[in-house]
Amino acid sequence: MDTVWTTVVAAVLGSWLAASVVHQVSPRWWAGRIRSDVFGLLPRWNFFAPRPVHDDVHVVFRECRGGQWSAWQALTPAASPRAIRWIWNPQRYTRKAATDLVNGLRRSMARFDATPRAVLLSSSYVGLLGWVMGQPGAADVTHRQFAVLTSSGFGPEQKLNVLFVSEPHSRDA
Amino acid sequence: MTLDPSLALDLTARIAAFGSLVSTLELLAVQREFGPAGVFNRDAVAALSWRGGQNFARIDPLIVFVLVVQAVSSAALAVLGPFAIAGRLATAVCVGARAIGRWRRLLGGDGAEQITSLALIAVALAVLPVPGPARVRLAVAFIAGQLLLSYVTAGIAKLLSPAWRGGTALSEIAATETHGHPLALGVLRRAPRVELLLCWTIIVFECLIPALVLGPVWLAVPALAIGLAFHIGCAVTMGLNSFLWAFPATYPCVLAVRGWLWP
Repeated sequence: MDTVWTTVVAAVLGSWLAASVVHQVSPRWWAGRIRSDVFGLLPRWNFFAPRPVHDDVHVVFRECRGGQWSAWQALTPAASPRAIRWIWNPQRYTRKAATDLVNGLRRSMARFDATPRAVLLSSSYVGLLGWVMGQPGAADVTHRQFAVLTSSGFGPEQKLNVLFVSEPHSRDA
Repeated sequence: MTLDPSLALDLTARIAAFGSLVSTLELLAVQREFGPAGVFNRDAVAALSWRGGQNFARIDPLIVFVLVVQAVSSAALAVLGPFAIAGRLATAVCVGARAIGRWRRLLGGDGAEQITSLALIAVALAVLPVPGPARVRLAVAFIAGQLLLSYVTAGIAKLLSPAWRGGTALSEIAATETHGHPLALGVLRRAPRVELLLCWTIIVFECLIPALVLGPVWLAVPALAIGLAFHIGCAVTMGLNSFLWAFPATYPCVLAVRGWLWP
């Protein structure tokens, strides 16, 4: 019985390693088969390459009450303090999730360059919108709108860029 | 220097489980993100899921419980190791809880989380229902293979990158709040030749690492020590704290495989 199990394990691990190798290159025939790796079992090991991380993303939103728009509020939390983040860095989850959503939005913006409103139907846009609309708010808030900013550098040399501004969305919808 | 495969797998499982414990405690610290106002809120994540989004409602009331189970089983595995009966149970529970948490979260994953999951699943296949020597060796080879694949892929991807070849990649990363550091940015901007040298050192090291760590012991041990120092440096300067445990955890398996090649 152990021999059978060992053979199965050898086949599983061997296939998994081979699939991992193919996944690094992801030819078109492969990408079509691997649609959704929800458990993250097929790794992509191209850390910080070919395009290294070069900016931070900031998701902000504002609310409309009685026809007046509020100031923009930050949704992405600040990074964990540098003194402790080498050992304790819980904010990385939220910030990485926001980056994942924004990277998806960037891909959609590039894909739908000719028809920009199609971005509204992309899963990343809907995901960001779900995050924004889930924020608690007063009962008289009628609409919300979000924007994505990017930044790089520190202090007075910091560069800010508006990457995307959403359409206003009704809270009743 | 050779490392017994069972000892290698035991060390890998314990260190990976400790990393899993730290990461799970971090997730518990931001558990509000699974609520209606969080980035992992059900509606936001369901939009990204091909299937399964409708099942999030069932798991949501239990997500904190799942994370607590993940933390406890990770701690138990780190303390007991994967070969004791209780350790084998902890391995199975830990792998299952991590899979549920990852499936529900979908976003915010990274390479450290992936290699930890791969290593712990391989450990589970080696020790369940009872440990088998051949399966232990297979798991050790698989984990070592994934580690070498990760470094070589990262090296080749950097070699193909104009930013890495041109020596500007590190200052681009250092200029971000998430992974950067004002001090490091200042140093790199003042010394572009140092940055170019560092970029190429990383490229060459990552591309050549299989030849180094599978070579004779006088090459392998210093190469792994440099790898460990690299991950400590990345944790301190870039905040990649999970990588500090996840990747070095697999080093014992590489040493074991090296021992098969150089008995």
